[in-house]
Amino acid sequence: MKNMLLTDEIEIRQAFESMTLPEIDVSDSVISSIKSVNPRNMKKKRAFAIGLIAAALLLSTTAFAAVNRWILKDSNNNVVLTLQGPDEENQKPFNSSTDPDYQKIVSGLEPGKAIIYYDARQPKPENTHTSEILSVYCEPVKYTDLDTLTDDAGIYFAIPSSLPEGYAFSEGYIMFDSMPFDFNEILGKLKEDTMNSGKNIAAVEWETSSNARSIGMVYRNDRNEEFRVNIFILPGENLYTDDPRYSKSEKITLNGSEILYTEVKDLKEIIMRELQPGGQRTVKTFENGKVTETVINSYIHYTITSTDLTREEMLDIAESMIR
Amino acid sequence: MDSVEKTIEEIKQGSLEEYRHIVQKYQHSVFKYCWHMLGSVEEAEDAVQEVFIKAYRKLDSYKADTSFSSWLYKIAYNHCVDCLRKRKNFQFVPLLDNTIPGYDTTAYSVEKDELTLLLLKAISMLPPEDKTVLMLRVLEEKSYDEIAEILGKRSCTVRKKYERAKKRVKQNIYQMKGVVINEEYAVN
Repeated sequence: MKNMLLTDEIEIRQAFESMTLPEIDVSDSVISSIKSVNPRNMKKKRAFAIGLIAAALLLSTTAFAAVNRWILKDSNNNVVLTLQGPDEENQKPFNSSTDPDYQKIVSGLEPGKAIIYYDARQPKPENTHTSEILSVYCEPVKYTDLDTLTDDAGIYFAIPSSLPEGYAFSEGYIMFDSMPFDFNEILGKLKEDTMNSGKNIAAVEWETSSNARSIGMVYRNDRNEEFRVNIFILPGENLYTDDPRYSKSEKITLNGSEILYTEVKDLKEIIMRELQPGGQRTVKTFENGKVTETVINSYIHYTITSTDLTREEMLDIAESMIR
Repeated sequence: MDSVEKTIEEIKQGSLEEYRHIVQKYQHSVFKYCWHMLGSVEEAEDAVQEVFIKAYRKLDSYKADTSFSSWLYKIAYNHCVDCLRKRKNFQFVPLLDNTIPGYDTTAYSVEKDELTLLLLKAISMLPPEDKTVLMLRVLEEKSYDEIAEILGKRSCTVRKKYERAKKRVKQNIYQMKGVVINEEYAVN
């Protein structure tokens, strides 16, 4: 009657204990994952983040208009976002990324942290209304869990609800906005640092806010084929451009929304956007002592890219994201 | 307050390195549990990582009046059930059957004892909740109250589940041996 004894606790215990599984040690990977996750996760979203959506935002280009350097302020006049783009007439894009000092600073940056840096070689804009330039770099926070990523993003955004067969979320990142800073104070300090050190670049580490500026998500199948969904939160009306790189570019209407489907060699890309709820912003420009205010919409820009999927699979993904 | 609870308090205060000790202390038992639930070494190892990351993130919700390991198993159970759900259907995880494609038979070893093999296979055929009850009760020596806390069930329900799980194991063994019996007669 040995069979009758099999279900005794002792027999079951012996069976469990007879298993010799390989030794594992996940402590390093757990600790490094935790370090890479923004500590904000353990706190409630800052009231600041809610205020950012709810409050009337003021996008002011004071003194920086000529280089498209936009300073976003909340209703309390705190700087919450700095956007920078080159002015095609007066300002050539300046790239610090190959500088060894810059690389050293960025490589040591923890995920979820930002640096504000000044490069003394950056040409001073010719326009007299334009100040010198500070740049901000935010180190992305990586995620392996989609729910955590969407929780942490601080904004609502569309994710694919229909995936090609065999695909699943693999990894993602969020690049958060930097926290507000006093432009003149930081600029003065960093300029002084460069003069004292004799180096071209000086930087100060800064905190990031709870708001995502860009989000990336990678989906893979078991053959390591992939597609990517990237999301950018930017103010502005213009989305579609006739990029000369595109060998094929086609506007398609899906669920009543217009999207752009493009191809560059093997790379297929879908570009689409949706209005960010509460994302209207006022742009204030100063020119010859005259203030002009313009309300602009803020959009969530989406791109879906892949070299592995077919056009139809790409469109199915896009359609599943359009509400 | 025992040493684990004390360590947890230190981690809550921001000592991340202390959390490493917690991971090292519990990872093997959680790994074993996840392996029995998921049936793959690779998936189980991933699950262990996720469980400890989730546990850290939820640490503020941990109360010292429950045992830390029970709290951890609750997270592990929920995580494994999520993993199984993502497979679209609950599947029995076949153990020790190298005819099943993709089933990992090389990464562990087991005594070549026929009865043990049969028993493990029979356990692997249990639904996730029953398997959890059996493992926590027999292997981890948890009380019914603790298992009830982990599964969010009443203690008396867990007791019944435990008895039923043992019975099912026996049925599974008989079925594997090609013997069909009436459940009523399978009770000890």
